[in-house]
Amino acid sequence: MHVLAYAVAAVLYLAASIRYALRFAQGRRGTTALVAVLVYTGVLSHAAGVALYWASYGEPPLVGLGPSLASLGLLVALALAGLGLFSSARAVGLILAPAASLLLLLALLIGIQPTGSEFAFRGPWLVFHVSVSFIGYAGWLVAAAAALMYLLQFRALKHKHLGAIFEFFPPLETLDRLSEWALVIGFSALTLGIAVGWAWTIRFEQGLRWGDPKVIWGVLAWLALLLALWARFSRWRSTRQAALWNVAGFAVVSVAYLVAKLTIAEARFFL
Amino acid sequence: MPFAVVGLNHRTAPIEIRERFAFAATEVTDALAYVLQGKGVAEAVLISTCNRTEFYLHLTDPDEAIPRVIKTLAAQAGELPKPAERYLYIKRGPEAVEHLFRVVSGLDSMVLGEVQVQGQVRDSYEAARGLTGTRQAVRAVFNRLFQSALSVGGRVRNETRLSEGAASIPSAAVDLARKIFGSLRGRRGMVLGAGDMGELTLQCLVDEGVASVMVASRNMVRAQRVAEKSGGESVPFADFWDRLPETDILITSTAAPHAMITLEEFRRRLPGKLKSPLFVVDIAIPRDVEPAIGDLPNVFLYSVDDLEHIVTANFERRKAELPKAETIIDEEVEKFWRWYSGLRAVPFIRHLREQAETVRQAELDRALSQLEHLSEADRRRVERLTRDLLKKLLHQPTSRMRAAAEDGREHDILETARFLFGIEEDGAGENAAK
Repeated sequence: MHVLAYAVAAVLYLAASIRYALRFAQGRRGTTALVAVLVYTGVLSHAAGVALYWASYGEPPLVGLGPSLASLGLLVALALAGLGLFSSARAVGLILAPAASLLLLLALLIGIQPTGSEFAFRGPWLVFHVSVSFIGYAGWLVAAAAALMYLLQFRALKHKHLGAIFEFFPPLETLDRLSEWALVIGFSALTLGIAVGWAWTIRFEQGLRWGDPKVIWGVLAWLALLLALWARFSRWRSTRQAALWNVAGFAVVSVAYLVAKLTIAEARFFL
Repeated sequence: MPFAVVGLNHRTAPIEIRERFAFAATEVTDALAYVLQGKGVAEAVLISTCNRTEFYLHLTDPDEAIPRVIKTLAAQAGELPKPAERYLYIKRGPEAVEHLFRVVSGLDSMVLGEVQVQGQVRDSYEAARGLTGTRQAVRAVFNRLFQSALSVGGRVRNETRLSEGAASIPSAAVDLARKIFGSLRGRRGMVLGAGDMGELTLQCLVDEGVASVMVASRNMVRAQRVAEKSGGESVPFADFWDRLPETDILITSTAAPHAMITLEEFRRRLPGKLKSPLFVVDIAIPRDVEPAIGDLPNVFLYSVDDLEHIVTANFERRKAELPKAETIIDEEVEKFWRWYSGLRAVPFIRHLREQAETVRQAELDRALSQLEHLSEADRRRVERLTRDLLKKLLHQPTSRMRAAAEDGREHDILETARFLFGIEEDGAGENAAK
């Protein structure tokens, strides 16, 4: 049953993505009420999927690649729904809606069910560690999406290419503010997530295993996020440079994840 | 034809003539009351803006009413180089309805697709609705007409791109500024020189919420005048560079024969990188700002040519939307006209219902007088039965009569119905409208 709810959400996010893309291609400003209906209904269906999963398996969908991607997708969709309340920032959905669709579709392809062997971190420790870490990654995704749009809008304005990007994308100031807030939230959450994970290993194991790809990637992500944050608040960097650092950091960390996932056997349960 | 519009606009009269015909907000109700006092006008709305003065009329006697309205307009204008009639147009029937729909959609505006006219029409309609009692200017038909018009305006703007994009150089500058800074509230603007276009652009920015404004000009008297008008401060021309770092938006419009802001000087005066954006609008010809400054990080430099390109592209896009807008207007005129034509059946339907009700009441009274043993509840049931029966019996013929009237086929059908039900002919839709 939960798979059906997830599938409905994926279809709705996909439909919203198409509407965003059409609106962008037409060079229109703002979005329509239909997009909001698709996103909000998608989030409700997605949340129902989470609840049904929890009810079926007696645990939240936080362990295993499929459930994790589905939950990360929900956080991205929630951010998208939240941004829907601010007309000036709605256009960021052009990236966030396909991101939510992609995460959920991947999860459905992989299969959204618990992977028993990895569920050693049972209980509130795990729920808290994974949830706040996911909030961190989702926050960073929003920040990177806004930063990428900032760079494209900046280029359009600078080179006087006043086409679809100029019309559809939000103002530079809005994108910069959004990126800044999302970075702060993302960094705080990821820091807390990593700290809780670390504390758990000290409490229940022999501390962090520094050779573990999950640990290496987590620290890499945290450092990249820290650099992006530093660039944003440094007096010596312009907002455009901060956006560049943000996007580049996110790209490096995403590629590192994929490489680790595909090449290191130990990383197969990663995320 | 029961509708007419009598007036003039930017196509039929130049500004100096239009301003003579214009009615101040305080004069509108008196003018409407005067027109309504005369014979032949059932409803009236007066739209008076800088681009048009128009009386929209629902007429019962056009021959009586239209000359009176022309007289009212001529009296308002006073002495003119040509007779008032030479500037005026009169459109009747569906053409008048179409004209109103075009006006409210911005198709008849000087700037194609402008949005302000929708608010102006709404205000005029509201002002006319304010007249009540014997001087009531808006009744059922004009309520429907103006509500339809406002909804047509909304439809055209939602379903087409007729009102999208800046339509003038100052509004193009404001549009760009919004895309850089988002809201302009609290931003700081500076004007270098104080040419007319610079002043106009500055005023547009101030209207959008630009907080502090500086005017730097060699002519301090002019600088002070422009600064006062826009609620800003005038600064000596020599202080321009010192004030530049605290500026978000710079408008240059000097009459200097060479560039006032060179790359070399800019780099010397602002040696560090600009952390926040600087939007420079160079409206001067020849240009005040060296184009190479536009290559500096965080400087967005737009010349008058760039802004003109934007305006031209937007105008072309707006023009391309005209057929779509006209299709919507045609549809809506037809819809309104069908509704209005349907009113022609209303007096007959009212009479038919009244007659049937009289018969029902008489027969009910007669029957109940013979059924005194019935309880109060049963009497009410019988009464409800007769009422429901009548309603159901009349529903089909009355709906079909209204539909026939909407399609313009009401004449023969109403004649037959009058003959069959023995109802005398009376006034047409106009009476129903009242």
